[in-house]
Amino acid sequence: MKFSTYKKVVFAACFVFLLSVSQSVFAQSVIDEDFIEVIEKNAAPYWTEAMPSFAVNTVPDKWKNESAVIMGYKRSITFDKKVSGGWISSTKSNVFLFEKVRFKIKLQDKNATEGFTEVYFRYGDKLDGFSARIIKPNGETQAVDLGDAVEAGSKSDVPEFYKSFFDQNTGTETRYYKVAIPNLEVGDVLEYVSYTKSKLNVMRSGYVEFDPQYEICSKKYPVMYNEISIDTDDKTFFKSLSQNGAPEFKKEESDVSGFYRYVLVDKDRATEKDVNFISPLLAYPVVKFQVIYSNSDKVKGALIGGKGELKSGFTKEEIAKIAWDDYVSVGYYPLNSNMLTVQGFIDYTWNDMRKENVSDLPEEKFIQNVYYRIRNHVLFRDSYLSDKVFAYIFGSLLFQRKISSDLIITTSNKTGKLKDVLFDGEIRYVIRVKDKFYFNCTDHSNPGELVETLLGNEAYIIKEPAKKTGVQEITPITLPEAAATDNTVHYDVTAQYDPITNKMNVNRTATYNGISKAKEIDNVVKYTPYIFDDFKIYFGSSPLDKMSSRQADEYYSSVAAIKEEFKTAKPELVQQELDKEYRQKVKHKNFKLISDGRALVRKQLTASDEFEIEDMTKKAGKKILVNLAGLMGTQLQIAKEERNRTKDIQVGYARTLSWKISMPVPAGYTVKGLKEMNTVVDNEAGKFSCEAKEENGNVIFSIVKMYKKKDMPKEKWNDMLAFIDAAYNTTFKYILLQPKN
Amino acid sequence: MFFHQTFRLMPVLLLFTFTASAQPVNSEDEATAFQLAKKYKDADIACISSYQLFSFDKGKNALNDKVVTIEEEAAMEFLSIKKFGSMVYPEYYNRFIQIKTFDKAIKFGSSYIWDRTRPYDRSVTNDGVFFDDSRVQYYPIRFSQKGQMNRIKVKKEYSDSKYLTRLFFHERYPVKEKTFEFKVPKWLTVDFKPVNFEGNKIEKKVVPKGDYVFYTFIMRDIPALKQEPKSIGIAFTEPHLIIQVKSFDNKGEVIKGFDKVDDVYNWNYRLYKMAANEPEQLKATLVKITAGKTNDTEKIKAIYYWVQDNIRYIAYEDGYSGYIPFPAQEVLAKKYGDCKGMANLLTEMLQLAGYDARFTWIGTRDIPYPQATPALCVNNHAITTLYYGGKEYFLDATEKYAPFGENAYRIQGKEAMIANKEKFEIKMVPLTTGEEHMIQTKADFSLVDNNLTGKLKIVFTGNERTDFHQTYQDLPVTSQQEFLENMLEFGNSNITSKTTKTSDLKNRELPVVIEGESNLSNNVSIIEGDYYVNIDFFPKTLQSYLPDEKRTRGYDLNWVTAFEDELSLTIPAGKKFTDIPEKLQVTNDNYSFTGEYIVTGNKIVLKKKLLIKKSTISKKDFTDWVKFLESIKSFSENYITVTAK
Repeated sequence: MKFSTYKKVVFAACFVFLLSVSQSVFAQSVIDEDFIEVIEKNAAPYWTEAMPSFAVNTVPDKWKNESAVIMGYKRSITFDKKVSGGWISSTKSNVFLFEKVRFKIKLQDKNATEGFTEVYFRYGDKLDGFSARIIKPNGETQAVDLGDAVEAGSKSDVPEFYKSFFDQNTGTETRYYKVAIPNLEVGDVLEYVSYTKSKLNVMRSGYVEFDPQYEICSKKYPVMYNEISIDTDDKTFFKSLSQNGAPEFKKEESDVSGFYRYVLVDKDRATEKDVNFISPLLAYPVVKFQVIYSNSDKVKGALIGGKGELKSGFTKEEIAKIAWDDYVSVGYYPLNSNMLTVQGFIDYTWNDMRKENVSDLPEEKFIQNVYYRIRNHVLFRDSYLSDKVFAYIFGSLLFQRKISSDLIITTSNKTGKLKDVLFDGEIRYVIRVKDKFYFNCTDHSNPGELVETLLGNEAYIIKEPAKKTGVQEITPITLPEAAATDNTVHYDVTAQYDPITNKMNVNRTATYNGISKAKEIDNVVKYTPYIFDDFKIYFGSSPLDKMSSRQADEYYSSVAAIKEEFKTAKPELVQQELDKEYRQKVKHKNFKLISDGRALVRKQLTASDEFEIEDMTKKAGKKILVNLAGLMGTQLQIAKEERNRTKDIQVGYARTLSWKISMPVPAGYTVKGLKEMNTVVDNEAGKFSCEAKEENGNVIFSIVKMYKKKDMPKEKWNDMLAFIDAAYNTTFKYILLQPKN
Repeated sequence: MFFHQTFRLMPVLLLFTFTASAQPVNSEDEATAFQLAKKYKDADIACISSYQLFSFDKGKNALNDKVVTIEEEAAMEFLSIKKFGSMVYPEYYNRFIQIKTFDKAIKFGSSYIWDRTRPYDRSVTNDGVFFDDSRVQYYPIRFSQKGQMNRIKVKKEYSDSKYLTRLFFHERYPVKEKTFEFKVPKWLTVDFKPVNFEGNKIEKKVVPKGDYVFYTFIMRDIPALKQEPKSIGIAFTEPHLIIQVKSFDNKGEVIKGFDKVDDVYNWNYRLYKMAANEPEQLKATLVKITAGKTNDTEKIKAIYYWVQDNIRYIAYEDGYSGYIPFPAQEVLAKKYGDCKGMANLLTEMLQLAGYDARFTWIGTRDIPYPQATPALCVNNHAITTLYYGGKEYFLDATEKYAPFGENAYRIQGKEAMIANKEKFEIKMVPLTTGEEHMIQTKADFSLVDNNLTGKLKIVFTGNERTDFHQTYQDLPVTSQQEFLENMLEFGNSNITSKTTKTSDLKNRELPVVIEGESNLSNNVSIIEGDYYVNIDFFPKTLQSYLPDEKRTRGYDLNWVTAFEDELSLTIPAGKKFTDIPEKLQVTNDNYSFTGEYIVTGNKIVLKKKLLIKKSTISKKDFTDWVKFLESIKSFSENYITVTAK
């Protein structure tokens, strides 16, 4: 089941309010006694299954001082199309998912004991089963009485270890219950078995992709034994890829004829700590896997292997073919809830372009126009377009003008390389026209602007397979990279310090470029009225053109009301941002958007703030120490527990931050301590420099902080620390204002 | 608020289908909206009239008692005073309060049309509660035109009048006029106790009419209650009514309600006794707990601490189970319970051990009412009172790591209703001062290059010590060492510390002591050979309690405390201190600060003490409070100069 990425979650104030008073979305009620009997009876057989890994009741010495240790975690899932679902469910219409879980954890401290003070279980089918027990340190076993169970809140309240693995895929409304575990104490072992049956109606679709899984081997607690086994029938396909040293799924004999079994076993897995500059899927052992149901062995557009095959990767030819097949079918996709198809949107847009006399613009202008029209559509959606849909619309509209374009495929550099692509959703699409690349648009992007996750990626240009031979032309290519000088933020800061009031008035203009702009633009343009004039960028019709006079009046008053609200909302937002940035109460005075960065003619994003800040000075008798460098804002500090690096470094994108900070020396004072401010650290990983001078009665700081590369080996960590530390330490340095008398 | 409004406009822009005539606005309503918008600048919606009529009847509760039941009929009219406005109108209910009808109507021109959509319904169980019966039904109200109106009508039933405890006039939105009307039959004796009416204009009318007397309370032009962090509870400041059904006549028989505090006690005690404790079942555990304890104090502590440490707090409050404690033997067997369950078990265990322990009801500090107020809104918590050695000990088993003889601040200064079979006693839990809950810090630094290095020691006493334990002991064991080091780093990212010694952290009675070696960087600036040094490296400026000009409500800190620091710096021979800051001393009845630098040879010592004596800062005290905080902040901005002799 594919899902789209939601960009905007539109909450009405009412829901915000209710979230504040309610933690439970669904009705809570006490469990029906009949349920309990059935649930426990259904679960009973699983206690007796031979599982040597669960026979252990002690933890290794190395983990004696851990909060808890997962002694065993076994999930067995069977995908079955043949089984009868009872008289009410036709065997033809449903795929059944049988999920069996056994979980055993030793609770070694109060924190873990409190954390596992309740067990959760699902009851959605008459075959669902659950049973839990605790094992005391003396070996005594006590069953957990489910009699006091009550309905849990929403599924999102159910902790990770109790959630049905594929619950979300079936979309069925199942209830979860919870029960407080009697007599649970530190030192106890908690163990449960659960069995759930879910069904997925496949009558309308002969093809279902279950959610791709990224199983990161390390968990919150160390794991002694972790097993996932997947049994599939002959209508179900399985693929998996292990990365970063993770164990692999192995194919085993299934107990049932006609079924295939794939088993992953991971043992002795310690926890991982959260650190800066890391992409988890590139750093930690991870197993990707996916189950696909398909009526047909050869499904067009499906990245699957053969029946019974444990597919662990795809050739570039397979990926290119799938990408092409997927791409050409995009026209039939519904684009919005009004059932407008992608092709319908293309036709509608092309029609508008002709009416608005932009269809014959010069080629470059035409391409930009197309891009901005798609962006305008995105602006009014509650989710972004996928790369594939964008590329299809963009390429198709260019094609209306007979502008040929190349279709390029790649994958996100946060998940791996093209050779590691396992899921359809991992394929990213880009359009190239001549030597220019066009990436999927956001609410604010301009044609040709780069995307962080695709920087410098290996990619293929793919063509339509030859009709006769089916051979597809695939040309390797590297996507554009962005240097530290392309992704920039520059702050021009002017400070006025008044020694009498001890207040500093600051005017700051920030200018963003490249990926640095993409990161900030949402926030900077929020609560500014860019949305109302967006159509002008592509010479489109005003919304008013199609309105009656009454509707136009309503439109004007709505826009006026919204702009009025912006007048309050924007200063509040800027105030919050400034407070956070300087970690103190800052008095915001004014904000001005100078260039919104949303058009090629004003590509830079530039905005200015005026604010008053107090805590930038200290006193030493009559002398005043001024923390002018503190106007850089809070800088990253690498904590002591992170100073030894064991993983490679992913910075995300190379970038440069620079500041020019100036302050007139207050009358009656001379300035000291400028040369002590001067610092330069410059190495392979990055640079930090601070240059201070006095010029025409002004103190001027020129500061640069640069992350030179987006990826680096862990051996370069000390280079990273050197310039990051220098920047951090500089924010605590002071210059001295010495009274002349 | 704006975000969703923008997107509500999207269809206008995209599909051009918006019709302004969807909900035509009456010109009078529009005029009212303009007027109210001027008055309530921060509000989107105002309630122009709110009318709640309460009628009384006779009935039986779930315990088969003859009781007074109440029917509430209410109607509210909401007006959009801005173009876009949205809110939720909630009606809360539970097993004792049922919603009979709940409807929303939308005004078109000058008439209302009922909205056929049904209200949403969901649980409102709080995070800390495992299960309860509190639920809400609600309607979202959304407006897209100034002057649009909605009407809400609701009918509710209280199966027992005890559960209609109080009614507030203020809401989250401004209210033009709010009316509470009570239709009191002659057979009923009821009192409507006004609270915080002083300074508020509330009209009261008493009108006899046939077999009834109508009591009416009207308040007009009520501003919206703003949600502000750490505010003093509205029950302390805002006007409201406490409803006391004192008695009623049932065919010549006078049936008591809540006339006096005795009546509340009798009700509480009756429900408490329904727990059906079986103390014999506690015996085996009690023997184990007290084994080897040679005197009474040791035994009492062993029992108290065992319940604190071994019974998990899991609240299960469904109907009367919100009032009737779980049986002590069940709490023991399950090793979990809520405050009532834990108090019940602790009381029973102490009694079984031969001590005079009694189940006790109490209201926490966020409830302003004395026990003399005969209503169920007075108490929200249960503890155990132990009579021992000629004095009372208030034992709160939910208060983890609390030493015997010390009380959590949340119940201090509050009256406890102590059960004694058919009688009861009311005693005050003693109120402590900040001096008893102290964090003392001692640091001895030397100047090494541009760092301060040296030894640090922190001592926690009183509730500060208990708070420390409650955090520390509940951490994963893997995080405890880091936590101790964090304590020595005071949230200052420029300190790195290594813990060298602690007190016995398994003993909740001892002051907590943490000692270590610390290195403080970025606190020294070297300029032209002189050192500018800050040794006041963790100033307590309480900036999060500094009110801005928009703040409407006072602060409830919910603690009293003292910070006492002695921080020294020793410099090399050949150098001297200059620019020594002046002493600061500010004292008033509620808080005080003293800070002083003392130089002795090549050593400077900063001694400072911040004492918070009272846990609330009222709005009228803001001027003094702001001055106080600013003076501390100014003092903490001092650097010392270290220069060559």
